[in-house]
Amino acid sequence: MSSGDMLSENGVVLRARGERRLGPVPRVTLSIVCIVTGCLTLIPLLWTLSLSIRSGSDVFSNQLLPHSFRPGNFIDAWNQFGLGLLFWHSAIVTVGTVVITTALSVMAAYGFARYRTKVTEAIFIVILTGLMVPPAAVIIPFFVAMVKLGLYNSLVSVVIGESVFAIPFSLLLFRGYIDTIPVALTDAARTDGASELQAFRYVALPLLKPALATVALFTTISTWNGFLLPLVLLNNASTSTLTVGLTAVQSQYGALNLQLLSAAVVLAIIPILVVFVAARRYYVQGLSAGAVKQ
Amino acid sequence: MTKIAVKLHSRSVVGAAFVAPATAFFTMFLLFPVLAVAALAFTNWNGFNLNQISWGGFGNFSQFASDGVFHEALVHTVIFVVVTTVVLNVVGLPIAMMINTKVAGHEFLRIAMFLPLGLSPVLTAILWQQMLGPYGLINHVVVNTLHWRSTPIGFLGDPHMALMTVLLASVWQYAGYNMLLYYAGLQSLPKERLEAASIDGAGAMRQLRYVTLPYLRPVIAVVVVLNLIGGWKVFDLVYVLTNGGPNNSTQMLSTYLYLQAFTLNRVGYASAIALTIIALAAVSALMRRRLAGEAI
Repeated sequence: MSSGDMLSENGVVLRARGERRLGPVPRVTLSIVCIVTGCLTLIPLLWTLSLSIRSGSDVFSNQLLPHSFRPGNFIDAWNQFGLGLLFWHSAIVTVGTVVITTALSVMAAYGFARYRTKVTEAIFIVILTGLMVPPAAVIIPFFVAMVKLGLYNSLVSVVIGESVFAIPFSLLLFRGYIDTIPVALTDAARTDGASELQAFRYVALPLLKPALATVALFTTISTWNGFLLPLVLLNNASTSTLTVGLTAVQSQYGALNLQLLSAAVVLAIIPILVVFVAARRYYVQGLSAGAVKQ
Repeated sequence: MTKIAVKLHSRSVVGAAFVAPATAFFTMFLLFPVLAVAALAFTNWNGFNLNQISWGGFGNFSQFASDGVFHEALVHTVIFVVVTTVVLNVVGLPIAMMINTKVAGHEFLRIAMFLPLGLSPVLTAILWQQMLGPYGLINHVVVNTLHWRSTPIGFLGDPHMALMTVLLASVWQYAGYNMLLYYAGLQSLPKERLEAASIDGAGAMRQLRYVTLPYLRPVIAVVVVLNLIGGWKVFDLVYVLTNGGPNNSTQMLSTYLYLQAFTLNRVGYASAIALTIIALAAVSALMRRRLAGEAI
């Protein structure tokens, strides 16, 4: 389930030892610290959740806990802020970016891992330096290029931008994973008459499923949450992606209709957190793999 | 001989075919923009007509010297990067160790720390506005519940406090990142070493000082560099939370560059700021080996 359970053998050993090493008083103290820290961390999320279900008068009622329950806020927010279109645009951009990033980087990683030459190694290292380039620092020429290509104010430009920033990490992750697949497997397929592409497609690719899931998850999170590219590349905030649209909502309604803004924020948070928590095993694996390899 | 040469040749052709699409894509849309920024930094351009670009030499960089807002943005960015890196590590490692004790409640803490990582910085900014704004939760408690003050605290509106607020929101969002990385590092800590130290009579603090921390040093080096690089990338959170204000008190290099490029149309000058950010990020990336104590 989680990475802790993944290492359950380890965990059991540690737990057994932990119980021997820690007396009851430190154990209880640590438990309390864990729970208090966890609760404090959750407060910003819980507060917005509590605002999202209140009636308009309850928001300014000086009450810490809701004294009203108005689920209609979610429907009002959805309709008033045009959230349907914003969700749709975010979904298109995310799916497009995941497809392009995954396809380009899994193929390239296979090439970099299995057909290593001095030239490909040099190219690999240059692409990896992309990891440290702050998107804001290259947004100007990127914007100019998209205008010149006629892609300004098209979701395609956002897909291109999100993909190019996602590729270096994906490549790193895929290559690390491909290095763990025995070369003998693909070689055997080629000896049996498979072409290079068939060996990749039918032998290597099925073995890469966990890495594909990790890359798809990371790309989904970063693209769904992306802000700078849609901010610069799409000209109308209220028909942009969800993140940019929400900032427009916030500047218009932030001070007046806190309950509707909060309802919109909750609606925006739920799908991504569901994906994130459900797939957290892949996230943790990717995080460690990326960090160790770098 | 020729057969081998042909085989080698065809292998490298196949390899090239696999890597070409991603390489071309990267070159066009990231490598080229980086080079273009480096070139544009030495020009004057309003961003509209490519024919109006004029060579500016080091003019943009010498202008840094007299631009007070640039100085502020540079100082704030450095403070942001250094403070978030220090705090994230000072908070992240102990929390990872606490979770690693597997006491009751550790799983709850891990999930709670993990959730903010999945959020857009835009949503983080909105959540913290609702916490610290004039009608936010904290002011609500301070003014209405506890009656400590009659007016709200200007967490976001007071130039002396706004940067602190930005730092707090950023640490809230990314503390879980360091926790997860350190937790993974602690999982691989060889238990025999701790047991040997324990048998030799080392207490918890000495075990930490002489076994755990030295073992984790390469992990710490990687995490610090990841935090530094992540710090230079800050834009979304600040743009939404304060947009550099009030009175430039949270102005960062990235938000200032955005202002110069997209509001004031000073693309050459904005590119010089962009090049500065890239240089600072590159220097951080080169620090890893030194931090890890590796021979170069």
